[in-house]
Amino acid sequence: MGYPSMVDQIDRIFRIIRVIHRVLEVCELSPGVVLLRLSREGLIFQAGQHLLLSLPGSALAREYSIASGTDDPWLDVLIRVVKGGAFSPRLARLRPGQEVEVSGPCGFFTPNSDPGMKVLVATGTGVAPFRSFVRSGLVQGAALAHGVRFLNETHWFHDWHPCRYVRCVSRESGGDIQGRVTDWMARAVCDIPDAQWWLCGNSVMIQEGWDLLTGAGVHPERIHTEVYF
Amino acid sequence: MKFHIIHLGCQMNQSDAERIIAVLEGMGFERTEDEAEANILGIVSCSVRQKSIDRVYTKIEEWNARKDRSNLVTFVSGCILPADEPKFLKRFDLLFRIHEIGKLPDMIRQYGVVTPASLYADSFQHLADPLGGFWKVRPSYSSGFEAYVPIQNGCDKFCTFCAVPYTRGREISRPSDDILQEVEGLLNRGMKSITLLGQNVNSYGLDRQGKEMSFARLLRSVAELGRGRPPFWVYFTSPHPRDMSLEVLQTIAEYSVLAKQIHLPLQSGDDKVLIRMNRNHGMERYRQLVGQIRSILPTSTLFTDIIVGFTGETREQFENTKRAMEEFRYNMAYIALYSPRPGAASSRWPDDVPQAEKKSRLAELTEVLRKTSGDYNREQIGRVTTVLVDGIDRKGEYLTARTEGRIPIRFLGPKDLVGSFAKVRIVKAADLSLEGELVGEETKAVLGKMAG
Repeated sequence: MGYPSMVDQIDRIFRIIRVIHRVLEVCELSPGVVLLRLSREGLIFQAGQHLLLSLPGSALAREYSIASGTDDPWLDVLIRVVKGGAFSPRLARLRPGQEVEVSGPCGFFTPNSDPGMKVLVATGTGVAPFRSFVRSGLVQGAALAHGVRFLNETHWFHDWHPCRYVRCVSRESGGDIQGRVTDWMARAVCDIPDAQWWLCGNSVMIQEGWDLLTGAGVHPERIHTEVYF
Repeated sequence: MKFHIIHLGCQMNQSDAERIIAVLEGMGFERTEDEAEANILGIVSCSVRQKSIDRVYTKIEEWNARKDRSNLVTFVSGCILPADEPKFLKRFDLLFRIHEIGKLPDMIRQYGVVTPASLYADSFQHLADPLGGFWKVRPSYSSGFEAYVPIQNGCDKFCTFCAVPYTRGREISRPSDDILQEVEGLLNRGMKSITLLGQNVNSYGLDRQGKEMSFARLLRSVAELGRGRPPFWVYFTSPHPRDMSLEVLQTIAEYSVLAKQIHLPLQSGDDKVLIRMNRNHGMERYRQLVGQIRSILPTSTLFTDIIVGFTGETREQFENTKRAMEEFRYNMAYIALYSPRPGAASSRWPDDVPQAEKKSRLAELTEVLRKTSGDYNREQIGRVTTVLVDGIDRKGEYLTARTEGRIPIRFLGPKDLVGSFAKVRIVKAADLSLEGELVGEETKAVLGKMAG
């Protein structure tokens, strides 16, 4: 193996330092949830991976799943704005042209080619990596169950065929299911026993979902998880 | 002018310290073990445990108190959480990330500390390369027979209990040419034990996306360097179960110099805790790996890391870990009480397992370890094995050594054996260690006849 080429060296610089990306758009999708669109800056990623975001001059950093497709000319992330939080309110206040430091991509929540229908289950902003899946053209025929508290917290349903998109709304009626997403899973697991399950969102849903699926005989290797903290 | 350096935490930090020592010695400073006679005092910090951070603060307060009486320069490097950086900067004179080691000579010169050797600025130019200066430092090895070789720095795994991705940054693989050159140099010096180091050592090369060899290939290349040379052992630590491949195990089986000892961190034996830890593998995968290790490397010992009392760990989840320990029959387990690390994701969750309960869980797992390790050790009685003699016990009576599987063993013998391989017959076994007797040439011949 010879001396590293200039391309290799540049690649390495990118792994050592955080790269500055510019904010292209900040848009409130629903109360407390903000879409942050950043310049791509040549970043290559796999659908389902996440980025480590920080603000110039600040030591704080947080991971966010990429919500855009691998061919999109920008990077989208979904920010759940935590009231009184140390980091997310600052991201939500960013304006186009401002800078964000980005490190990554990281993570392994990436679709595989294993046989079986893919069932995607998200709570809240956990829908972000699944949007990346679909925008990257990787999960044709997959179904998405999205668990939210209120109907206006569902995002991007137009990305999905209505037959394959289930809104599970826990605190009001009007969704496809009134209740938690795990209620839907309990019924669905009987209908599609050979599915590959992809769960993303809060740890309570993932823990309950795990118990429910393994209890119904789904092999652990067919359950893929990404916990949001 | 003398310097004193303290390293805390893992072997990676020890390896970092060896490189810092090499830079300081290259500047003409002399190393001392007595911090009272040093004018340059440094710490290679660790952020994995709160205890280590507390020690950094205690030390720097102590050193700063000495500044009234003597001229001191203090520095800190190693694993530093971003949140600790400003606090350390207020207390230490110098702070640098380990990949910035090339800046150390200039930093010290700018502080007004100069030796004749340090005036030759050009001699340190090659270290100033921000891309690979760290790897180019030839370390000052602390032992004449065992050495640590970093092959990778940083971590991409983001386990929720760990702050390493925030302190050391993302995984970066060291160029394989560089690694092989260092290993060859060590073999030329007669090193008997070489440990390849990295936060996720078996993820080696993955960051280079096909532009660098895989970890299995690297192991093979290292082993090939041993052809025609006296025996030595190569270890690696620590691997991640997610990236442990069949090819790695098969390569270890193929070469005698690749030691038959596997460290495979479990952390928890419960699937749901593993999910919350963001370990990216389940028990099924771990069980499959242990099965492969037992079948491909039947003589290998098995070590692990476990955390007890992780946030939200229930009694039932802990029992699953205990059962896993009984099932996998480890020879050694480094069991830690969970403590939230600032910056790590789990630090935002309640540390809700009481300390007394954590201690009790640790004691229970230690009992399991003693049983499985003790059973293995007792099976070794009567066997003759090769050991690497690494020292003399505190009383000056026994030689201390380690088997290829890194089981500690002691035996009586001449002190000049330290640093060499010896044949011993195992005569006694304790839960976590062995006792042997040196097998001389004549004894070996008799044993050979008996076996023949």
